[in-house]
Amino acid sequence: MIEIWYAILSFMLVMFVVLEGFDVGAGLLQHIVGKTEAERRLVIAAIGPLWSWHEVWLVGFGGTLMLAFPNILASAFAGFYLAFFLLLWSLILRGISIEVGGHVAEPMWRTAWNFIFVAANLLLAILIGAALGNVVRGVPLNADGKFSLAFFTNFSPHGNVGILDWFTVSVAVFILVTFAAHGANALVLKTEGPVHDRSLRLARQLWKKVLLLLAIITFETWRVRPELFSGMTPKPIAWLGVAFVIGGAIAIFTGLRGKGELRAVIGSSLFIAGLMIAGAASVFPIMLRSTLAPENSLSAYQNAAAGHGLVIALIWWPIAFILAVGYALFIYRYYLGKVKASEDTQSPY
Amino acid sequence: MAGLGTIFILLMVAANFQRWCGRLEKSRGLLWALMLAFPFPYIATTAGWMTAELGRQPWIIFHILRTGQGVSDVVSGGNVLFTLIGFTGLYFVLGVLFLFLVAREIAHGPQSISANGKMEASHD
Repeated sequence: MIEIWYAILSFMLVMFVVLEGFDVGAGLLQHIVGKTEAERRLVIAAIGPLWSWHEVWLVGFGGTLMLAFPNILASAFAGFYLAFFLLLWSLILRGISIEVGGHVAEPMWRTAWNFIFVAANLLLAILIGAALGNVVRGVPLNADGKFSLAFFTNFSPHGNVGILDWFTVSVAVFILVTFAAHGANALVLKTEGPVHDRSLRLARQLWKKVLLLLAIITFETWRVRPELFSGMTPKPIAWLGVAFVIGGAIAIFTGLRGKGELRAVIGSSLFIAGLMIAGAASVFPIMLRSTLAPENSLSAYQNAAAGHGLVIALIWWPIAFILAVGYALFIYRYYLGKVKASEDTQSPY
Repeated sequence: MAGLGTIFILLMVAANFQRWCGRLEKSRGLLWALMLAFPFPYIATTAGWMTAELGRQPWIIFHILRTGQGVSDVVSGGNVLFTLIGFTGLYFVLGVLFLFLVAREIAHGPQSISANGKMEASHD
């Protein structure tokens, strides 16, 4: 039962990062691929009907964490307090900029909201990256299973750590570049004309940088958390994740060379999902690792909710899942294909 | 909150009745009432939340967990104040934006009806 809920929880986080990575990546490239106001609106139109659906997975992740592992939710939400609020504010500001940015046709209004849109996306990429880095590195959990994090302490990933140190900052940079490349792939698929051409050129450059950064991150992870690699050997799901990463990378590079726009997007989704699946499977059952003492780490087995509640939830969770996926299929079918500026769904006039 | 709910039902019944009779566009009094009613849904939602959140004190989960027992001991008062100020600021900006956009929409006026009776999209 606990393994099932750990898998469900990991699945929801993977869905969030892959789908949200597309919005964040496309959004933070808005000024680079869109040179005129119409081209910039095209970028928003590409993510317009989808972004709020993608955020559903984060809400679902939080709810599922509370349901299945309440102790870990309590520890993490208190420990990451300020970081979570920054994430929340960035999500809210990005939502506002998409919703109201198109309402007034004044250049000042448009520029201001475009700036907030790009800045919020940039911050989201860095925050999501830093958060993943923190989970991999561990947090300063004490013997009560609690922790609180300063933004930074002495930049070392050992002992009394902060949110930012050399490891989490490099994971954040890796996620930023990966999201940008993922978003560029998605813009290649969803747009035409100059935005499409610029995105394609950008995607080809960015994916080479992603592979280089992945090599660096892998080495750094081996230094910071060696048990992630030793824990991988007996777990077939971790190897499935590695296969996703390799298959995804091949699909991206062959897709971007020719006309395989959809193949490149599926490839970049598999690439990100594979990395997270491999990580989540390797560290199981440790959900939050302590950087102070290994015995303070929070394990899935000791911190799961009582069995009866989990059984009931296993009946209700699939119902919500079917509703969410049904809506997703509907909206993706409805907005299939390339977007045009005139189809901008967020503009009222 | 409940009183506002009754007003919504009455307004909608009256508006739908007039629409059914084909007189909605001509009944000035009702149109004024509909336009002036725009803040009421927000007041009703806020009042509803206040009833739910304040009404259950001192419990955070009724008869299971007291609010005082639910306080995180690793989150400092300064952090909570900071996020409270942040959210107040964010909601203030949202409120100003909302008033500005609604006022603009009202000043913009309704779509005009052309000679053949079809709605014409107006441009600004």
